[in-house]
Amino acid sequence: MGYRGSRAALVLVAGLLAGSLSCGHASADELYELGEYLSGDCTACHQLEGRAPGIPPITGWPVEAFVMVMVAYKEGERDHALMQNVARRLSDEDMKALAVFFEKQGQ
Amino acid sequence: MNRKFTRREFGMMAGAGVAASTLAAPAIGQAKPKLVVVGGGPGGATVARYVAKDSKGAIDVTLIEANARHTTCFFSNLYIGGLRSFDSITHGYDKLKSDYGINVVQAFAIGVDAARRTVTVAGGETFSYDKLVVAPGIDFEYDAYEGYSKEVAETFPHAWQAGPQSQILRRQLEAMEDGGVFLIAPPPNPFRCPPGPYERISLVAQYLKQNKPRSKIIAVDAKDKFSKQALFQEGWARHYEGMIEWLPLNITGGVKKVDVRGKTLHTGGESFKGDVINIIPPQRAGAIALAAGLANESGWCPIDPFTMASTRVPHAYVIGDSSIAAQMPKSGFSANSQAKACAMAIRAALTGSRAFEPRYSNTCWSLIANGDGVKVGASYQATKEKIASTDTFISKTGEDAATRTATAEEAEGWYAGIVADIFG
Repeated sequence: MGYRGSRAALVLVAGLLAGSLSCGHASADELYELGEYLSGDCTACHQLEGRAPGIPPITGWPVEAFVMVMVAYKEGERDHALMQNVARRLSDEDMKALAVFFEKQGQ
Repeated sequence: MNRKFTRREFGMMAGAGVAASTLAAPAIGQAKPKLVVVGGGPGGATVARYVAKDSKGAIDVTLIEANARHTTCFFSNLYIGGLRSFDSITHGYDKLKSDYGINVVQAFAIGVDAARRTVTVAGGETFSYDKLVVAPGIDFEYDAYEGYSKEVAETFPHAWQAGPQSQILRRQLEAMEDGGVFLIAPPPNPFRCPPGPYERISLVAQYLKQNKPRSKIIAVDAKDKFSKQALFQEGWARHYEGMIEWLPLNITGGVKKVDVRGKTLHTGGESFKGDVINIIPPQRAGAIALAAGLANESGWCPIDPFTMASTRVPHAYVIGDSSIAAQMPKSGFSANSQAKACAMAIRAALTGSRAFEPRYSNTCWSLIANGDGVKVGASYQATKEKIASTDTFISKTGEDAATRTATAEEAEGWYAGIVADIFG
């Protein structure tokens, strides 16, 4: 994705992906369900279908890239006051849930 | 229970008022729980859409809205300032009907019977509900100023419910002579869209600067300070030097009396004459919220911060501008955010679906000039007492032009996004 994450982000992403993503169906479904609910915060601006200038599309990204970018916002390594605000209240599980949900959209 | 009615029988029942509503659920063979939403703005349309979408047809959703189409208040200043067409900020309900199976009823809700759980609309038809969402937006205190009334608002438009009022104001600005005075009276707190009056001043200033450069703007405010004040005042000095005079409450004492013939606003001391006069009066919850007993003595509706459920009327929820959402401003973004938490709570109550901790957020973009955008926003969480702000951000004074252009472009993208999120 052209983004080079910090070591902190990489370590966190690696930890996240080694976690419950590889678990069974129930867990993945729960994660998706959480992501679907949390996505409401994103879809106030980002469209699930269609695009508009000024707001980048966030559907169909690989989970790793999505999480890495959100971690970078949360850590303040990526610059955007609104997105930093959004990311700061997301737990590791929240970010993973959103990544799982949005990866499946727009495909 | 399972007998199928003919269309004609069903039509007769639907028109039969109370009898129909008490029979409706079992009679037509639907055991589906019923949600009725009053108001098709950013709050109401969003909650209807999210409940319909996420319950996947398990909940019967009816949306009662007086108008066939909704003109958004957000971005209506861009229309007034000549940057957008009226059509581009006006949206219909076709997708809510066709893509989400929502029963959209064009009618004006006039009453709620909380004991029978019915909503009555003008004309007498009633709609029964298991859960009710009331999202009527704002109403105005027309008796706030001597000489002011709903009729006067046709001459001195508030343009604070977008639609015909916005068109009146736009026409008046177009008709104003160069050298005229645009006189605006922003309201006291709390009111819809805190930065809105100041974005309006900005975009009217831009229109006048380009078309009627000898004109002036005078703001007789009912407050001593306002949202994004430093950003707006910096921008006014930069873009519209000498054109805008903003007068806080502590200088004028605020508007006391309105003289329609003399085109004058009288304060405790000085009087101000305007060629176009935009009175944005004090506000309260929409009329149906008061009629339904949802509002308290403040004129606004107290809610449970976790679900947006009314604390006064069982099985009813209030979202958007009518609600007392504490630190969340009255904005379309807030209403849309509250609608999603509310939709989740309603689905959980009606179908037992999983409910997560509610998360609220808001961002208000404003244009100071075309291509000069600023924003303020926050995250919120529910506590026992209120919806509390947890983390805020705001544009900075002195930002470079590229940042402001990016923010303005982001606002355009947000508009497209949120309209899709509201109306489908």
